[in-house]
Amino acid sequence: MKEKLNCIMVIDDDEPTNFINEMVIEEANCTCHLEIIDSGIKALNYLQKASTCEDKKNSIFLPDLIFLDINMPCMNGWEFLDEYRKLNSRCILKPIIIILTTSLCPDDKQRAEDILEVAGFENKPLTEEMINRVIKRYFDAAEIS
Amino acid sequence: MKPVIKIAVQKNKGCWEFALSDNGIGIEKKYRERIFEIFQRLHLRSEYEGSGIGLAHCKKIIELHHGKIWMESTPGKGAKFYFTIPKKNI
Repeated sequence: MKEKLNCIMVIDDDEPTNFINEMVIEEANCTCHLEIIDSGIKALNYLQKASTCEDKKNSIFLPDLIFLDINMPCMNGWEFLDEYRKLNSRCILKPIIIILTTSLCPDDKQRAEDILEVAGFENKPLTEEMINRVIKRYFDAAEIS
Repeated sequence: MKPVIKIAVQKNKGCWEFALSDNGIGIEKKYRERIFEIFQRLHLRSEYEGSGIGLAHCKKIIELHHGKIWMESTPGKGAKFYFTIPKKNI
């Protein structure tokens, strides 16, 4: 049996997308915990809480892998990353961040590649094949907690 | 809460200035530019409906008439949108 990640986080404002993402990730059977969060601000709060104390009773876990949407209300994916960077300079968070977007714009892809914290850029929809590919690429050789 | 929308117009030098105010949820100052970009929304679909097209559409039309559009708001109390149309185009 392949090893599972401890926690995957998906940040996306769209309810139907999250419904599909949840189904696909559960189907892939690749993580013990799945945290689906519908806004960048809520995700930052979660990460802040998780980085100060992993609270297993309330199942607050630091994610190993984050799928991040770009186009979201109030705080978009890029703004999330700006705030995340500030957060990360205080705490030590090491999740792999993958941008997951419908955007086919090469500028978005380039922008993602220029951001140190972003490991990859993928287009929706999320598929089991994509998850397995991402996990294989970023986690297989590394230690899985 | 009952919606209240007020529409006013005044004659300025060189243009007509229209003002439309509502008693809705209002918009924070930091978002007052962003709301005119297409597909920009400030809430989840489950909170408020909409596509994020309306104000981008307004801005496009106003600018085609060489006018300006902007807004003022107090969050929680409502918003007031202004736009101008130059007189020579009417």
